[in-house]
Amino acid sequence: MRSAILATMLLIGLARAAGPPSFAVVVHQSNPRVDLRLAEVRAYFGGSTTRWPNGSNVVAVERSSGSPAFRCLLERVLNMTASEYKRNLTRIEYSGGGRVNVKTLNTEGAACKFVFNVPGAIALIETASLSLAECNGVQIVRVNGKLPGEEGYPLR
Amino acid sequence: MARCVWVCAAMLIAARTPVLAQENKDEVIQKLIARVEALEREVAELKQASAKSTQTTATATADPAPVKEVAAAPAAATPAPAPETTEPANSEPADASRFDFRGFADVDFDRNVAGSSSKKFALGEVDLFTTTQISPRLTFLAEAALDTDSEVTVGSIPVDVERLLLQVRGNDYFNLDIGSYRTAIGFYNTAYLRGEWLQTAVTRPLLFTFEENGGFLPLHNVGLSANGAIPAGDFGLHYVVEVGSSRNYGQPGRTGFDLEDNAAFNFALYSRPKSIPGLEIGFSVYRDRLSPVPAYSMGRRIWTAHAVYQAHRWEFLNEAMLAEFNGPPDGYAHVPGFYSQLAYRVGGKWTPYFRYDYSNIYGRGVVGAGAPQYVPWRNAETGGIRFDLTESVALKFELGHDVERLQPNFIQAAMQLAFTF
Repeated sequence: MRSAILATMLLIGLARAAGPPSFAVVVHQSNPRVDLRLAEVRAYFGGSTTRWPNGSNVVAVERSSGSPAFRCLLERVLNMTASEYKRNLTRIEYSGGGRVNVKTLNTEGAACKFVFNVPGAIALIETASLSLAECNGVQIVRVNGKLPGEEGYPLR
Repeated sequence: MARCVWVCAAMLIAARTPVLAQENKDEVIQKLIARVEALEREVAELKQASAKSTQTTATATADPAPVKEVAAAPAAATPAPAPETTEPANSEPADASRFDFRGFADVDFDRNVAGSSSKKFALGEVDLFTTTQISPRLTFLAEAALDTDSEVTVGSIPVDVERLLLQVRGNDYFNLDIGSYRTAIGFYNTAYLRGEWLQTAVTRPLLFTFEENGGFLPLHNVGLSANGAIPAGDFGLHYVVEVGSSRNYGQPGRTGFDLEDNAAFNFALYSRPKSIPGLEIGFSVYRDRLSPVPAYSMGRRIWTAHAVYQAHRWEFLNEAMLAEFNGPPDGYAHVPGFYSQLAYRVGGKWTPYFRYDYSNIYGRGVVGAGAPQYVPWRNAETGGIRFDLTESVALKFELGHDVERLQPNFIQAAMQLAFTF
């Protein structure tokens, strides 16, 4: 536990020292998918994958439009504009594929709290926010085998 | 004697003790059950209160995006440490089963539509779409389109029930849609049905013209549609199997009107490889009997294949089709065709696009001679640009050159303001 806290603190420190904001993908503590490819992250947030391997529904948590995390989601993860993102989600639902569960939350803490409470949730938050109390109970996901702060991490 | 009495008394007490113990257990169990019931009532009340609270905060949020559930952050006002939260570990969003409603509409300015020398503003379709989750495995989907243009009286405005489905969501491998569905012929018909805002261009590919507008493909059926994934690793294989009847709606007398509800069968297979996100390749096979006139039917088979890429600013749609109409001894008609559409987003809002449509007809006899009425166009080049004014509103300009079989070639232009609400 102590090592985990130290690792988190180290990550936060590295993120802050690096300058430009870094973003972390977080999931529920019970979620075994803690190592994802960027394409998989894109599929979960973009609505093309709506279930986790264990069968539970994916609930993508997005931050309010205009926030750095939302911009990162559009530009670095989805490579879409806000309009394209909306069209994409609408088209999935419209074509009978069912509603894509997207939850928009106004703060990083609320996003962490939501992920803590909902096993199928996945969120993209600023790495600096991992120090918040609300983010203590969530898991940080490796993206392309890298954690935030490590060399080659794609979401920075 | 006294010892005997004491022994008997001891034996009686010993025999009674298990009975008392059992009574105590029953009493404890009853108390526990009562306690559990009381706690269950409390939990139910708390859940109701929580749901109301979430709805209230969602309403208060200004984001108009209808597809998303928006909730103001409760932690913003009253910070609370997450680990102490007592919400059940397996909880889903409180409003996961709410009623969803969506609409699409468009206003157009058209010049030389279908070769006529018209120049006019036109109201497009109003498309209303709703889904409701009835239970965790049952969803209701309904879509109705109102086409108000060119109607003289309010009473003549057609209300087209485009889709009406009870969707049984089994698992990733088997789902069943019951009701009026769109046929899984090719890609475009399942990806873009109504709702002009969804598609990049103003007009649809000519192959996928709606039936009531003269299209010859059976884009709607009524019956059963099963679909799901096929375990194939990273190939991302999916299947669709449909058994239904042709849908007869539209204006009597139009070409392509199917006068009898003949059974139809359709099978589609497509792949979305995980290694190339945005790519989809697939094919479909459709078979039924078409009755263009009373008491007569001809066999109809339709093969399609598509390769589509939509990612990283690109939209590259390619579909090919072969339709066969066989009505011995009255002859046959074979209609091969394809379209290819390329679009690329420039900057954040501009998306220029170009599409080429092509069709040909080979036939003999009465069927072959009548085929051009069903497929009056030979090829078309269409170019345009889409500008996304906001997340929900798009402005499109389009210019097209059509080469026809039954009338002189023409150039048409269109401007469209399409939106969703």
